[in-house]
Amino acid sequence: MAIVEAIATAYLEEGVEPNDTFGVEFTGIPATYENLRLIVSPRSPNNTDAGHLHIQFGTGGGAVDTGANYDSHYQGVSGTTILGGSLLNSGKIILYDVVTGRKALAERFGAVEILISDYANTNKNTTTMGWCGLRTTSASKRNMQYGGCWDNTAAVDRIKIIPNTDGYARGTSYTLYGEKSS
Amino acid sequence: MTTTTNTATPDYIVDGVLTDGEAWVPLKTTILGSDTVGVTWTSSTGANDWSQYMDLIVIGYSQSTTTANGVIMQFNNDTTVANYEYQDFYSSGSAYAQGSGTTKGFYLLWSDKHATQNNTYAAGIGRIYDINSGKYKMGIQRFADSRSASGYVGTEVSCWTKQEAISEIDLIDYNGNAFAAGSRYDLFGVLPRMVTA
Repeated sequence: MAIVEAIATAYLEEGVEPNDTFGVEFTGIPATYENLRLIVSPRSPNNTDAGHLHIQFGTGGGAVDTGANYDSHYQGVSGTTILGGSLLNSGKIILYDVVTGRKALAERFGAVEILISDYANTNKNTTTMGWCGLRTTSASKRNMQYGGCWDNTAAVDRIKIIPNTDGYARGTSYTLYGEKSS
Repeated sequence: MTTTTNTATPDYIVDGVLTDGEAWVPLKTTILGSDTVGVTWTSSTGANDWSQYMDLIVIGYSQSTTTANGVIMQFNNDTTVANYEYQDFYSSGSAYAQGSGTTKGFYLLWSDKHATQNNTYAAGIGRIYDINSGKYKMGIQRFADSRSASGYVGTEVSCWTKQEAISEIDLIDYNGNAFAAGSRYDLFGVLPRMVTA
């Protein structure tokens, strides 16, 4: 029995869609793991320095929850500037400044790791913890940490990841891992 | 120095068929029996053929021997400082600091010399993303070190501005000094989803 299993990998061709409508969605996630871990290497075709990733969860085989049931927190640095903030009762968990934009060289992508703890437990809201690295131009770089919460105790069986800019650039990759306990 | 390399047939190939196996595959373990200058890991065959992995993960428990410093990772024998960018964020006691620039490689961890660390080894874990792609290679490292009357905890984001696949990692002390006996370094390859069914 594997302890860490790769549930699914998405390695994308370029796509440009209206804001918030183009997302990668993992569905039918089994409840057989202790934690989920999402590894992302994102880039946007949008002419920005850095964009955000939005995460939504679903349960019971239905669509993802788009209600104002998510909280987000972040801290980090850009050069010598310290960043921090939060957003409560939003329609998605937001990971600020993790998607490399088209202002950067084509070889540059972000690096993101998101831990989704005890996602199948039906007595706890689902919490997330994340880390991100980004370097776009000499003036734009990030070393960030994130916390998030879905105010719902249902077991997660669906995850949608949406960029806040116009889709993903070719080469953006997502892999969802399941981590088992003893 | 003892290095164990896993060159066995990958577990995800069963009778010539791809299956879903363990996503984390142990590739290298190096344990220092004496003070040692640098550790080199290279891709080879079987499970240790790095071209099959999405990411690499390096875990270190380490001390320096001469001065306070840490463990740097360099790739494919590239020693050009301008090719390794970083953005760090760390604290020591109640003080915190952050900075960015270029340096000799990806910092895996920060540590002091054995005389200061005594039996405490600094710990670090780093993930290197999409190592076989044409992207610049990004890494996120997290580290902690509890020293006598002080210590560090922090994260470092790094970028190697090269498009080539990573096939060698050199672990070095920033000042070229030896790592202390008892230091340990492990390398894992992380697979993507191998089958679509």
